[in-house]
Amino acid sequence: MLLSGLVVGLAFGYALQRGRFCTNTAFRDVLLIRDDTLLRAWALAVAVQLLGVTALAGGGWLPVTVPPLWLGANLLGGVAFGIGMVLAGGCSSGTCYRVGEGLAGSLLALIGFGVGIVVMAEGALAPLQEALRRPLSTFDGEAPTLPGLLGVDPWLVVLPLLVIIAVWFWRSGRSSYRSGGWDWRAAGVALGVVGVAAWLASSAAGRPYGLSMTGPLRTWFEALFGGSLTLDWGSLLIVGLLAGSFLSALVNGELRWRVPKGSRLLQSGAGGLFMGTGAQLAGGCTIGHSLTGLSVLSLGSMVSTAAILLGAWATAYWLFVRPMRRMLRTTTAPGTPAAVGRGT
Amino acid sequence: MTVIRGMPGARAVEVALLALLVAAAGLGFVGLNRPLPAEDAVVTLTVPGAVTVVDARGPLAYRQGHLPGARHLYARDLLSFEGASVGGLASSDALAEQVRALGVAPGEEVVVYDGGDGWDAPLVTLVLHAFGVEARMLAGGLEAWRARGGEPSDTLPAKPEPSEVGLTFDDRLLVEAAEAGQHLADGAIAPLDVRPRADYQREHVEGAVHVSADALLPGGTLPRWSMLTARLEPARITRDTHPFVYGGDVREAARAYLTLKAYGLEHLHVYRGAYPALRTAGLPLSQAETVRATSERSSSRCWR
Repeated sequence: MLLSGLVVGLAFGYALQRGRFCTNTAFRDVLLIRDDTLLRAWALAVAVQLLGVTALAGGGWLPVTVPPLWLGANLLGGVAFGIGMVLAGGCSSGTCYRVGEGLAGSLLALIGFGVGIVVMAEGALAPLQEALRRPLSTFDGEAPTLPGLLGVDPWLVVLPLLVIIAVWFWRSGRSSYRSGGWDWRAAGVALGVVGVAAWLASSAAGRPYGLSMTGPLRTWFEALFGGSLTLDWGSLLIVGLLAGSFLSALVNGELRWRVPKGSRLLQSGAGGLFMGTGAQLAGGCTIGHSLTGLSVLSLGSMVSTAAILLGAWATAYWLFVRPMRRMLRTTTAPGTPAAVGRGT
Repeated sequence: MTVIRGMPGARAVEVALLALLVAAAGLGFVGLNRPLPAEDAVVTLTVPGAVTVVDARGPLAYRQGHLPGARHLYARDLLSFEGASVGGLASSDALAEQVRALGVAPGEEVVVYDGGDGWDAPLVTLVLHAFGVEARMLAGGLEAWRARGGEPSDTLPAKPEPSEVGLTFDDRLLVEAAEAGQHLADGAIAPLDVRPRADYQREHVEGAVHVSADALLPGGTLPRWSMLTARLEPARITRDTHPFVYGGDVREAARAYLTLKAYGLEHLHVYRGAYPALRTAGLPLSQAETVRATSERSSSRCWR
């Protein structure tokens, strides 16, 4: 079953590239251009996984493990990851699929991501991880979930959530987003299906969790830093992801080696470092928490996702919105040509 | 509006990837839900006559109806009721006498059953294993056999001839508290607490991980592979682990033992006593306030 990691990775990478799926873009676009198209794709992917995993687990056909709730680690790690993904121009999955497309900046971000993970896990920042990774609650020994907190059957939470998501989609109307790839609905469904398949295949290989990137990337980078490589399901997932996005770019004529300016490269690397340290501290990234962890209604994943959103929006505001507003104020101030032209 | 855009050649790639993904998911589903290999410890059906059958229930229940030809060894007769040993096994000599009187010997095929709740048969099976008798437990007990159309008999079989073959006790399988303490100090074994979670959280052997015996042998039958993996993986129990299994009493530990053996663990050590004796033996214990650290260590490697 180990090879299924490669297969799932191939499908994952392909769907990411064709769907242009990047949580950074999804979160950022809501703030910058008031477009929620990719956010809907993300929500649809979560919804499909939520439905599939709840049904399989409820039927006793799938073992489910839930990410722990480490409040301090989830918050600080999530914020750091959010900052990093905006700096890097992509979240962990977005970075990986863009590497497959040939974007050098994303390659540097990926390297920074891996280095950040190792630094937090075993390097200078390891004491911080040790101090902050304290389970807040055991809920009778089990990691906390929203249904567990409310003391209800999971379906009593899942079904209303699905209805809310459906109403949101219905009220959103037609999207103006054009990417040249798949429509947001195809991307959301495809990623959700890949997510459910990942749960089944990974669990059968002895790893009872779904898609995640932090742990598998750590395996690779620990090996690069002199450790031994463990070829497990997760590490094969990463290989498949990169190969799948490369394959997608190749067959769709989108493969191009692009090297951004020096300052942008540095920013990408720094962003990757932030992402890596944040993801390792929080115990997951936008895939491990915001896609897979939410599919089991993990409280730890909810906190992490909210923190990622906060970090991403704050950084996007600082990097893009604030300079834009300042520029607009400057060009429309009284006495400027634009202001004179408008008769103010 | 076109939902899926792409080059014509990409369509074939997408179909191929989808087929592979479905195959991976399907194989995963099937793999997760296969039954555990039963040949080592537990069977789902017995054929009286081909094997020696042992009834582990109380004498009254046995006399009222049992599998045809079944011999009788009451699980409670294997326990100690003296002082600090209460809840644990009787002495090795007393156990050997019981097994010898049963008339079974190493190499003989034996199947043990109880009423179906999985409390008596695991203990008898464990003790027989300790004497080199490769016994297996009937999953679901007498109730399951009846459900398959079996008709119990109340005819008592002839008393068997005591076994003349020497029975060698395996003291690596069934260990005393002092010995366990030494192995734990050496790091040779990993403590596994199979008591109810509340008891574990209140106090447990230092470094012990937890999987409840009820989860390992639900209703006297083996769990599905998927459920067992979900229990054992977070506790970092793999086929290479050398677990030291202890329960509130030895019957609880025996229940866990059978499933772990069916799962493929070969290096099992079962504490032959009851939990209070571990405390008096001076093993290092963890209190409730350090449960957090323990659960930190035992959290799944998915979030390492």
